[in-house]
Amino acid sequence: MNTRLLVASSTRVLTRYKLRSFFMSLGIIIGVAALVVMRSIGSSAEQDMLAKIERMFSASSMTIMNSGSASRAGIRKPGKMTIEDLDAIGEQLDQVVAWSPSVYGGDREVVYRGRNRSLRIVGKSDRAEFVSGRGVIEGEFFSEADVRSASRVALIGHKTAEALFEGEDPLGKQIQIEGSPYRVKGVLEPHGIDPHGMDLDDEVHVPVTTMMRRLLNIEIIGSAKLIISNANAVDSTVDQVADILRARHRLADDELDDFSIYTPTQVQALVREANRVLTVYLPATAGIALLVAAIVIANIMLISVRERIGEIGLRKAVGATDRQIGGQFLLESLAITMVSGGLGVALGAGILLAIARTVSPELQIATDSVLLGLLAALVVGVLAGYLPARQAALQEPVDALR
Amino acid sequence: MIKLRNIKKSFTRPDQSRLEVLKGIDCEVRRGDFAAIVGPSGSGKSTLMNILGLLDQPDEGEYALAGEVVSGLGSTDLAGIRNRQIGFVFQQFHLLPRTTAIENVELPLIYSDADRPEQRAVDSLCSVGLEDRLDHYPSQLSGGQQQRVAIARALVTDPELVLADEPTGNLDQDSTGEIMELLLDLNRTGRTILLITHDLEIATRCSTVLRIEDGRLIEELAA
Repeated sequence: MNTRLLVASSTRVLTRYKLRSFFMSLGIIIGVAALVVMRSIGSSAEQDMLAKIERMFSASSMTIMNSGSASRAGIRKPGKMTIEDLDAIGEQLDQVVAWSPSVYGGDREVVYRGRNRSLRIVGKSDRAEFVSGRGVIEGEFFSEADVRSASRVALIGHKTAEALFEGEDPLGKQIQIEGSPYRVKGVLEPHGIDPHGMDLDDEVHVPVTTMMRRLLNIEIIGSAKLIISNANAVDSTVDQVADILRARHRLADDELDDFSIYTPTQVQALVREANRVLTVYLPATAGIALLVAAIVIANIMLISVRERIGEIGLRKAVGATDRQIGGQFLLESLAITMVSGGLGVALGAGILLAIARTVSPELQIATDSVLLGLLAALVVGVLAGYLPARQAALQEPVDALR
Repeated sequence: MIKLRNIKKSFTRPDQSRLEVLKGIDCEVRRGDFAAIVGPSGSGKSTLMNILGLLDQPDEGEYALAGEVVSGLGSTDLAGIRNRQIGFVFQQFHLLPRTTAIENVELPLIYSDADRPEQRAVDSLCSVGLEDRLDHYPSQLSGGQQQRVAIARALVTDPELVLADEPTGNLDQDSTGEIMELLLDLNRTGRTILLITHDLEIATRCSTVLRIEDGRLIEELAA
């Protein structure tokens, strides 16, 4: 058999019956384009979120939330994690190289020269600069002495600085938080919006001890971040940390943890799970378009087998075997769907480019969406072409030539 | 070239009764013959032609083509024999629409291993005098020209046997003459030709005439 000639003769049929080919390709083009666009947008959103999470939780870290115990039989114990707990962990576990507590103080009134704003106040330690990877762009970070003496100093986000000081140099100025004066010590590095939608550039940090003793009057901390010496030791450290905390909190064996520990791997898995709607289910709706396309193609091909029955008879008379006839119709179906799949990918890429230019520049075409689109086109081609190909192949030459 | 022994074929009518079309045909066509099969409509000559062309299988009897028994072979083997040894010419031409003369003539070569198919197709079209119609579509050609394209297609695999089923049935007087001359030329170059026709005048130009009536071969005239 001369494959090159067969391919040429099949594609000729498609180019010389343009209208028919157009209607066969339409569904695939739209379906594949939708698949590429939705899948790419979904995974871009996911990448974006994962990147933010990586910045919040670097790979060799873990976060302990002072969450209290999960509710059991309607009883929920409050958390009781303290700074002393963290110091104990740091002393007992060599692989824990640094730790830093955080306490959220909620939104508070912040005033400078009559301008007031309601801002989120966060208590941080002097080690947060290293542990959270966020320092200052102007001024100085908290010192150990600031934390030890619970001094009234503050670090402010750059947006806070702009809004409150309107171009004035904020360093060394007094701001009022809940009526008490605090000295602005520095301006925090820009960190953007976190995955919960909070603007990290519009908040005020105070020493964690200041937050606990002066603003909230509590002994417990909200959360803590630990840095582990190497990323592979993170998972094994989780159990050791839990044991230390359970012992210090005097939890009996049948009591649940009154804290929660998150590692970056867990958080990323949670995010991926939450994003399945974007990355899997939404693109899957494109499958409906492709299914309809498959039905349309199968239909048109079946009609075409009936119309071209003379051609089938002739080809058999001049020596085509059943398999070669079936192969030809399958090839025609595949040629249509693969070319349409390619056009669909191009259309999808064009749409993504347009969106990237106008709305969100970080949007990228996902490689797996292209492969997925072409694979879908292949599957549709085989499915839609099978029945018509079989019907054509089994045609008796003498009947087909009548 | 062709040996038939006791070939029988019947069909089932819509009312389930059997219709015996061929009631036991014995005949022989020698290599290099130009044989005509004549007979009234419904006599079974088209059925015989389909069996000779391996497009249909007899119910009974034995068919030997070029010394090889071909009755009972599978459909893939039959397709190969049709491709290599038989060229078909039909009354309705059976050219593919929206397909140029060259592409039509190339068709049998898709299913063979011949090299340089385009060149063979061009050569074949030249041999039937269509060297200036290579890229024409069937709709742009006259009936006689279309039938010549069909003959070029039948010749492109260089078969020993050409089967022509009423090749001039749809043509005017002049074209009929041209096509007959072409077939006679082919016969002179050594090909065995088997022709179905109504036209007794045409039959008289053949070396052998097989007359079929009511499913039986009643006369075999050698010119």
